[in-house]
Amino acid sequence: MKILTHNDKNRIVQAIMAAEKMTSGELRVHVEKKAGKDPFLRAQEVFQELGMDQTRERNGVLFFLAVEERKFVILGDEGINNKVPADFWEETKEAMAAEFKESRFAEGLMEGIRRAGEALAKHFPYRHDDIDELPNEISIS
Amino acid sequence: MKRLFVKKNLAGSSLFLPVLFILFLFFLLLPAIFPPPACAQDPAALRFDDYVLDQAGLLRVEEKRELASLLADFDQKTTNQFLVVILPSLPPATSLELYSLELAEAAKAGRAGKDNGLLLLILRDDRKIRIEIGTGLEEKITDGRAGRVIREILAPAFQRDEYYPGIKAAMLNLMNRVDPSYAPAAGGGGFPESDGQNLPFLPVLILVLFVVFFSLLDQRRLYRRGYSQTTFGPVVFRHRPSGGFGGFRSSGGFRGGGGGFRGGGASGGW
Repeated sequence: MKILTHNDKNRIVQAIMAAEKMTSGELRVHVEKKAGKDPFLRAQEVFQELGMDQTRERNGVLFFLAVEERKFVILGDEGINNKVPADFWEETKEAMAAEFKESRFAEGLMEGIRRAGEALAKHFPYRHDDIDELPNEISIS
Repeated sequence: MKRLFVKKNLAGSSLFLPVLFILFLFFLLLPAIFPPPACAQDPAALRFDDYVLDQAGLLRVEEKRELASLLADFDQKTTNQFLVVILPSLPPATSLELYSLELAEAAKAGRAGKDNGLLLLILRDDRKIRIEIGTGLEEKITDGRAGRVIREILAPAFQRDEYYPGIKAAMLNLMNRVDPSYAPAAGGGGFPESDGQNLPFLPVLILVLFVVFFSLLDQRRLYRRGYSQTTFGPVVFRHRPSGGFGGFRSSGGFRGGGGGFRGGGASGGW
């Protein structure tokens, strides 16, 4: 059931760090065995549990995977959601799902991180006074 | 004039008692026929009692009045409208988040254009608390703050059955967040009404509430401004005013989650 190798995780964290160099936004990946409920609702809980709703400009983006249920969710907080085109999340989802279907989970996540990172960089460019508000890591529960 | 009116009523007393009885039954059965109604008042018509709607009987009459006068005082001095709604339970086929939003919209908490309302919803039997925050107050009361007020003030107090002290402390805490310079009027507001006068007022208030509620039933759709739009994917939840919520079960039923997210997104599978 382990979908990400140690090396994969390193690559993903690198991708997050690279993306966050360009933006004040925050990106996170959270992997769970089972959401146990509607993944979208579970992802919202995780979003809050990880404190992602506490960013100053409300520009956190969470990638949530429920491995056993083969479900994933992308959540963008209010700040970024108000800026991106209406189909942005859906398109990102499709791109990620295409990789996931080939069991290329790291690639799928990195693709999502790249796209979300670009959108964040465009609307919330990096500021010198920016502090990395949240840790750059993959949380697994 | 008043005397005449009373006499007239007495003259038709053969009808008066049965009618009163039927009216009484009607009110008794109303909550069973209809789900607990929204606290639906026009802010322009808000009276002191309207700031608090307690259909679950958690507050005593004096407590309710004191709380309402505190909220009214705060509204008058700062224009921020804080409302407290206590219901027995959540109506079927709705979610806490959606319902409290609808309540806040229906009650039109906050001044038009400012969106500076706050609604504290307490569901007695569900043991749920939620704080709905108008967009105008979001900067001052973050979801984290609302969550803390629920977890650290309301829930512990409710576990001790101290409903009024808990609600009052929570409101004062939130008021202080919104306007640190606000000082509540001494003595809990000067509403010079004795209990004896207050009691007959209650049925009148209930009647007014129901009339307003029914008249608003049709209009309610107008106030649904788009806090749960389906923009992408089947399960997108996107709402503006938001708050933290938590249960207050003593067996660790505290859940901070639920209200903190108000962005958008997409979900899928592989």
